[in-house]
Amino acid sequence: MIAGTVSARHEFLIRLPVRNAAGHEQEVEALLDTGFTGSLTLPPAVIANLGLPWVSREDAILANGAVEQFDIYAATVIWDGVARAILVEAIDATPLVGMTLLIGYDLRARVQIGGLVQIEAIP
Amino acid sequence: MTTRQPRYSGEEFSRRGQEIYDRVVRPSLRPEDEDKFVAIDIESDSYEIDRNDYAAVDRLLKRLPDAQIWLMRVGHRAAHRFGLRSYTRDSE
Repeated sequence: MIAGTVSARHEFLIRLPVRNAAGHEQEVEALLDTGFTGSLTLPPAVIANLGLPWVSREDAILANGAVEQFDIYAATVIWDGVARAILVEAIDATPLVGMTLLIGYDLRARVQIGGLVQIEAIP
Repeated sequence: MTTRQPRYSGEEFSRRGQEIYDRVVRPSLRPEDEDKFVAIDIESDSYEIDRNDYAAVDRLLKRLPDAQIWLMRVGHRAAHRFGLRSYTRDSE
């Protein structure tokens, strides 16, 4: 099970280890965005620090309906103790976790500051 | 092994990728391909389709390690979406 916390702004925060091909890991604090259809975004500095490989470009639609283009990198995240290969958009902001990582999981949260967020595999 | 980098401008990725999608990918799509991801090599017309975005890109790179990939999603204006906004289905 992944345990996170509800932030002072009532966002769902989780800590997530991100790993490169050499096995080096960096833990990031990420916000769950249930409107994000991908897996994870990371700041360019983290991507550079891990030396994640560039793999693709894409358009993505932002919350205001605008379309922007992003660079995509390949990474491994340790999700609920299991290494998963994912695509990562490079965005210079707090990392976002998207719904692709949540497929197959229950999500529970006590939505009060400091409340518990639980992400658990569907039994 | 040289580090893979984009060799084209963003505008080129988008333009070439859309052109290959319209000419090569779209005619071969089946109804069950709706919502699948399409990874397109903008230099060779090669592409891979998968329900998982990473799988499509990975499979194309295994075939073509130097591919310059544009990622799309069948039936969608863009490969991914951030945040939520209400749309009627036709306008998305």
